[in-house]
Amino acid sequence: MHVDRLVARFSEQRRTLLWLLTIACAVWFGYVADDFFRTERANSRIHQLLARRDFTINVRTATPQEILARVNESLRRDQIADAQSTLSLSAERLPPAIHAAALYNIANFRTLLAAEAVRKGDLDGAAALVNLAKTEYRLALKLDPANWDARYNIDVAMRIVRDLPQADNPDKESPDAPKKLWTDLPGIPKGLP
Amino acid sequence: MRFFWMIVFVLIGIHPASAAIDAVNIYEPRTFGYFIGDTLERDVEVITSGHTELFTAALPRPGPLTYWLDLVSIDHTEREDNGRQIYDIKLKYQIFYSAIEATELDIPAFPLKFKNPTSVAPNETAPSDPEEAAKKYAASVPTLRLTMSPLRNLVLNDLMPEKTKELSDVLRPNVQAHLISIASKQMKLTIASLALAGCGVFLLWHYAIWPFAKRAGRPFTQADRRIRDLMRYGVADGSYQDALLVLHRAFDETAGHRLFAQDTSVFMRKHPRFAVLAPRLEAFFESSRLYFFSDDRRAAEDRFPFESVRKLADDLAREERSSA
Repeated sequence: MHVDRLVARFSEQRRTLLWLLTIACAVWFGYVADDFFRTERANSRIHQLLARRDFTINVRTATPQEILARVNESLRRDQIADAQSTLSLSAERLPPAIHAAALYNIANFRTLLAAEAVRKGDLDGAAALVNLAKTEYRLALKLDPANWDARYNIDVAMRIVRDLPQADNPDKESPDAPKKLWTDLPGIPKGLP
Repeated sequence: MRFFWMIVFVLIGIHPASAAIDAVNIYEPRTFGYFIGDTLERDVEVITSGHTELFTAALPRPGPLTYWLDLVSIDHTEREDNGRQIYDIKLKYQIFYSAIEATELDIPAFPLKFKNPTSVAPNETAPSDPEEAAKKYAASVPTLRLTMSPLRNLVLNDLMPEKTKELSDVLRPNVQAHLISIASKQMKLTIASLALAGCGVFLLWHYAIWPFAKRAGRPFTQADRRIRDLMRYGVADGSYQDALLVLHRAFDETAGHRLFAQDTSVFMRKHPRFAVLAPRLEAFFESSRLYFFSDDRRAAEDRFPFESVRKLADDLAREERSSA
């Protein structure tokens, strides 16, 4: 009985239902097709970059893998400033693992530069480079603690320039250091009771 | 498996009604087997009663604590249970200590600060010195000693540039970008296009366009089909009338205009293939006129029963097919 009524209702509303279904399918199809062709285009760009062509990408719309490929290509061409600006422009859109991977690659490059500087006798420059690399490895590890390659390489970098205890003179100028907003505990009255 | 240590660190209970800080429970993670980059979580549960409140703004902030330790995050939630406030503090640390051999290091202790302006026992006098009061109602999260483990076998001279081993051989390789997998997207695209095509077919069927259009030029075949359908419902009065009407419409369609009994001879001349059925056609029109335009429907039906209508439709359809 119910089924009969349902079927009757369906045949009354058939035209509306069919059009609604078709519109829904068309919207879905459009969305899926757009996604598919975007990915295809992104893949072709990644392919270009992997083939070592200096291919410029739109940093604001590129997919995470494109950014990583672009950063790697910039590093391969010794354009570390380009690599860094690419990464910092897109950093907030990247998933933590890819962001960490890009930082790790940049840090690796700096560590190798430091080794080169040591070979040339520029020890101060080398120390500065290694310290930068260590900061980047730390950032990468904060974003993706499961990145064992970054753990290994920060260990290597720390052997080149040691981290030293600074407990006696804490770094007050560091912007990362938690700011002391209150010098004393409010709420406890001082003075006469 | 991770195990917890529960330390009931402070228990101040001078008087139940006046107790300020009831307990500080610390659930510690394991204290050994940490590598560089590892994270660990400590859960601190602070229970206070009366007007005493934990001063949450004075908790440590995320950031580097020492040169080897970062406080990644600190979250606190508050809940009430039987008039007592329970604070759950979740501390997450990350270690950046590069150990040469297993080394013990301390996570520094930090004090907990409380707002307790009135939490003094009624039968007690308030400590006259506020410094003393603060000390009396104070608690802290203690030091945690961790054992760090080295990550790799260290040959101390393996990085010196004059040595044979290159740094690039020691470092782990870069992460390479890879192409985005499109298999699932391709699948989705296929399904979506099939669904859209299906919708299109349904629409064509609904509007009876092109593949679903009625085959033109065979009105008698369709009439025959419909009369058979009508017969299935039984030879009732209504269905007999419907059968007559269906056959009339088929004649109309074949002739291209309304066909009445007096037009049959013209119709025969125009469509000679139906000439063999001429007597029955005339009989049909005659009884139809009787049926529709006189009150004697029963007689009309007796003269040209349903079965004859069906047979006539059948023969007409066959003639139509054979001429096509």
